[in-house]
Amino acid sequence: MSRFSLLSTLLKVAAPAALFFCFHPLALAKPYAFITNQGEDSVSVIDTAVDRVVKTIKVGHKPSGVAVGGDGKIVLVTNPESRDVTLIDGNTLQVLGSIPVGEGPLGVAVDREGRRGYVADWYQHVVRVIDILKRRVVATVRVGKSPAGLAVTRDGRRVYVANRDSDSVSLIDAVTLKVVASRKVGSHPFGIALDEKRRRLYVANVLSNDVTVLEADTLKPITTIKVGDRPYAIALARDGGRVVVTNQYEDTVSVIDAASLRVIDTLDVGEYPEGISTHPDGRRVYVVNWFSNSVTVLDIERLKSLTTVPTGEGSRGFGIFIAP
Amino acid sequence: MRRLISLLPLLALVWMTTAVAHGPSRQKIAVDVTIAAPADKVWEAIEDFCSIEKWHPDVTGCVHEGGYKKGATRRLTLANGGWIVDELKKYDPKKRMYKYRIDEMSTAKTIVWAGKEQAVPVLPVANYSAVIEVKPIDDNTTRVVWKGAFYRAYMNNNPPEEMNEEAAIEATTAFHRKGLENLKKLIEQSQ
Repeated sequence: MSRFSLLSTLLKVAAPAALFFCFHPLALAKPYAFITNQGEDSVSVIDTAVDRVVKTIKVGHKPSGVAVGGDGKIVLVTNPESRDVTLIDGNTLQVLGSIPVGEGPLGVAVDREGRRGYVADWYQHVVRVIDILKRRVVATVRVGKSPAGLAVTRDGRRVYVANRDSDSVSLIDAVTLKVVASRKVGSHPFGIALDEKRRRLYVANVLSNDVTVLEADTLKPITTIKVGDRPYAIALARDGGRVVVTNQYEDTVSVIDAASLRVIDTLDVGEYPEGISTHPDGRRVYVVNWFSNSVTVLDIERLKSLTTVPTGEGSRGFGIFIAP
Repeated sequence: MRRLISLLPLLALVWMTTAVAHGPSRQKIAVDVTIAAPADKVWEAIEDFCSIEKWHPDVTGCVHEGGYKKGATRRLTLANGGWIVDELKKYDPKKRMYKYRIDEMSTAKTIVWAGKEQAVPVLPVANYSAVIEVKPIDDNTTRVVWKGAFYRAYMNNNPPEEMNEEAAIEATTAFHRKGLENLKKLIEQSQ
């Protein structure tokens, strides 16, 4: 076969294939954003290709935290009032079951493979380890008081947790399940975000209105950055080049440049922004507005709002709600 | 038997610790009123942070400090003898809105609950913040929306009825409603 005919054959196959993937609904339907609606015991599923809700899934009582892992297949939702975690298949959008998890499940994270989930217990001051295949809690790790936000490394070997009422962050060795380091941060740390490329951990401090930046390996403080009023959660965009923080009391997000560690812009979003996650394109950031019952989609390159998606009553979306 | 009885306080403690499990979740209310007047005229009536003493029947006095910057305060005197200190969080005359939160309030009464004295605040809420916004509908119709977000006053589980979610929602809704209805009356009468 001549080189030319190989190329022409390739084109003949590739062009329809490319068209198929561009326009086929299945190809469009990913990834999803899973938004917990605390006021109506449900999760709104947003198809980020069209930015609208394509399904609403009933979960446990007063859902708050959410985590997506295992290439988008595993979705964990914490239900503080029914004291369990709902497991959802992120592809079929079916509820697979629920797992009882102690007294006050709130923050949640899942490893990249989707094998293990971690659930912070607000009242019992522990992080619980869920074996997702077995669908049960297999270990409990004592951390600081009222743990909230969690982050897991890509290799699944380390877990970070913000302890709101201890004003600290703990680093858990996921193999030995021991706390190997902890560090005081600002007042009432809540949401956290891990940048493995720059080896940094960002921590939003609700009461001191700032973000603590720590070295991820040692938890050594790098700096503290003032943000808006009542910062809540953090997402990394542009491969960690931008750090975006929701400010609950001023209906804005602060955009931090990771190189200069300075706030470069403050963007308006809906009322009482809480959860925040980044689309895998690294550019679009989804902000969950608790009071407005909506999600604001931001373009973090052009620093502007693209659209607003209506969701359910009391949307929170605390955690990584879009598969990274 | 004696041994068992001596264990009872411990059992009670265990029960209480478990019972504390379900924490409160944040509540929200949105009360609105439609006024037959232009938006600018309605905004004129509420733009002063202390204007509430003129249009809210339950507010008898107001002292404003710090202008219109974030962190400015107003101290409300209430008809029932109580007081509330609000702190301005956002003031945006272009959008005809401001946002504030309660910093401090007087105690309406003290009750005993779960073996402890509990101060019931004059507005039975915790971490209350609010926004009031004027929205034009047409040239002579305006909607005013007054929203509140808060937790119930009792932050542990099993709240007394004076400090539960229903009490918080009822009291704040009534406060917003009474204010807005009187605002409507005053503006429409002066038209």
